[in-house]
Amino acid sequence: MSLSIRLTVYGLGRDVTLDDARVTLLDLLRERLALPGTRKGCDRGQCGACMVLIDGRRINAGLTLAVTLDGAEVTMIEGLARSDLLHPVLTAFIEHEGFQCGYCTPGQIMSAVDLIAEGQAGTDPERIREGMSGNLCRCSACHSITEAVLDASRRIAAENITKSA
Amino acid sequence: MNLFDCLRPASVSEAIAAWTPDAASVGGGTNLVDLMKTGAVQPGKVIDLTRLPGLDQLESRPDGSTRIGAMVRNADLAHDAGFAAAFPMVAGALLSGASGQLRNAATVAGNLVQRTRCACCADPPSACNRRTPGAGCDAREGDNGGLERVRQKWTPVLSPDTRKNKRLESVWRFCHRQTDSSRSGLERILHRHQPFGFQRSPRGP
Repeated sequence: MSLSIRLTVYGLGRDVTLDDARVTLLDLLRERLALPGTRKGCDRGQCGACMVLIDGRRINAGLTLAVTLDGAEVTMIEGLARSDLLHPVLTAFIEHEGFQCGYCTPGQIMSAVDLIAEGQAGTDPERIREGMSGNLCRCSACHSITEAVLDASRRIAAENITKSA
Repeated sequence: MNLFDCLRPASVSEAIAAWTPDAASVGGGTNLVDLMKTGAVQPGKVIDLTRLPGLDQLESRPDGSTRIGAMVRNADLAHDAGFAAAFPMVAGALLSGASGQLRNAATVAGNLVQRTRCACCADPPSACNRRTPGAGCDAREGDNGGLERVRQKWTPVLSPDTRKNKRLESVWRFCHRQTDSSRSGLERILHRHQPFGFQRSPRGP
């Protein structure tokens, strides 16, 4: 049985025919669309390494059947930089060294991007830690990650003020 | 994951007509896809509810109640300003569950119909009456990963305060449900509750 879906990836429409309904978005991106930036960690929605934005919201790609995403816009870590222009969250992670081995980093960054966009955490470290609790870092870079998200949150808020002024 | 047929109905009536006893419905998939990966759930047919129109709406009614669409996501319900103001405890409870990304995917109706969260139920090699009626219950009587040892080592101390006892009892029951993989976590929980009424039993191993 073949099932077709249409996804928007980096602003480009892509028609995908799935020959198997079991394909998760994570496997679709990594194995079939050759976009390996999104990582496979636990594959059970516990570690957050597979974080992507679906229609602007962070979702575990490994727990999402691709077939349920017809018409969705997907943004992955690869979509956060254009040549040398980096997203503020990327800059903050680099400056605060919000990583060690780097395996969880794409997921951490995608999660942080949406956490800041949601506007639920603001610049409260405790709420940022809660908001990032679905992303595990086994290297224990958690402190630097919190610092990076805090910094990125402040930068984005400042940018928004400049824009609206 | 087993092979299954996938149906993508465009209306609620089509979805109902597609239902068979071996079918499973998927909304957010946070529970179902996980259980399908372990093999604990093996549907012959999966019905995709994500395209059904009109199910992701909240409706405030004149009597002060709110009608919640089955496909409303947990995060959307919790962050809806009107709902959070009218039902702050429900909004708070939603935000204390899972993580931000799971709440973005999980639906309210999916939460209500999700399978039991017991680790044995999600683990096909373990016996589970809920998964296979009559198979037994490994959480209670099977090889539950040295739980007995932990149980012998820690004893609850009952207090005259019944509310406190209730809390102890729920912690104790939770501990009895744990499997091997979470045993070290279990010890940590008991340590944390020590001041509230758990003590290491002197006779323990």
